[in-house]
Amino acid sequence: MHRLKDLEGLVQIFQLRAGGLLADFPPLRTVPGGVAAATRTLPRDLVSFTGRQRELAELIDAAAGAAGGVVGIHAIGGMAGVGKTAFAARDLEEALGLYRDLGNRGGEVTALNEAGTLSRVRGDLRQAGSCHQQALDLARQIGSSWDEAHALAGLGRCALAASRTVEAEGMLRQAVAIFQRIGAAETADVSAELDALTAARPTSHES
Amino acid sequence: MFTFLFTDIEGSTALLGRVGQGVYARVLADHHAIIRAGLACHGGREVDTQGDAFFAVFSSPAACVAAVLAMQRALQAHGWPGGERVRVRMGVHAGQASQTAAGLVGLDVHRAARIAAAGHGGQVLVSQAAAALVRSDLPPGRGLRIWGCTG
Repeated sequence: MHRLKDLEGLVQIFQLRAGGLLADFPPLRTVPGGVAAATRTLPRDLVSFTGRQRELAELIDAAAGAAGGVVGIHAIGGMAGVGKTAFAARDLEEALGLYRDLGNRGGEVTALNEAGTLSRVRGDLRQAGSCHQQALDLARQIGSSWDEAHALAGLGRCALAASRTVEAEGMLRQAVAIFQRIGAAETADVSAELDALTAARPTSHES
Repeated sequence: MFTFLFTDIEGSTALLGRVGQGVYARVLADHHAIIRAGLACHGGREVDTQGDAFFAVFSSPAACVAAVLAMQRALQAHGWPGGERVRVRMGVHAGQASQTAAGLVGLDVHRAARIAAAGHGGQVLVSQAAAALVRSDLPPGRGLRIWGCTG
């Protein structure tokens, strides 16, 4: 929800997306405090909330379009070892299938990147790389720079986890360039990853 | 019920400073021609123009959306004087206004202007009221989508 200058109340704002139109933009230039005001009864986030703009946009869009229907959101919590990650993986797989059935390629590319992240965290680098590569191809097809940068960052992290540092640096550098170009909030985080990588690499020789 | 459209060029002051008055005047002329062509093709009525900004009204949100799509595509495809990149922010809102001697007056006009001002060059923002009407008018399979913008 957003607050507009000189106007009372919070409003929902939508972005038109279509072939031939730019798709990725920085946050709206609305009056600060719109979301905070709407959720002031909730505890403040302990860390900045970045990298999930697309998912939030989709949730809001789904809620707005539900028109009396029901929107389900799964919050996954619990102690270590109870299967949170496995549950998330199953949900993600289901979401990916639904997006493909619906022909929602924007949702599909986001789910592919998320699946890549999850696979990497679980240690399956081959699967992770495959998901991010599919996401990269799809992002380029639909012209989504934000998803393209996320896919490149994911591929970079996979390469880094496999000790392919030169490849990792190249991928992360491409991701940073795109995030910077579109003014995305992720620029700082991925730049920091890149800086840490280059600082830790003593020579230009790949091991 | 009107559908209001506000547009303006992102960073026009900086653009003028960069390219100088002569080139800027040509940029502005090309920009005005593209916006006016979009209005003419889709039944839009120009209400006001100030510098690089336009205020127009349409009889339906669907016509307005068709116009802004045509305008944005034309603006992107255009070869601009001085090799500059010109990006225009646009805001669409549906609501009420009274036709007075001083022009269209109403809170929804102000709301539409504020929505446009919240966007970035090349971005088309749509209010909830306009989005609801456009959704019901859109033929399926045109690849046109309306996404919620997060805070």
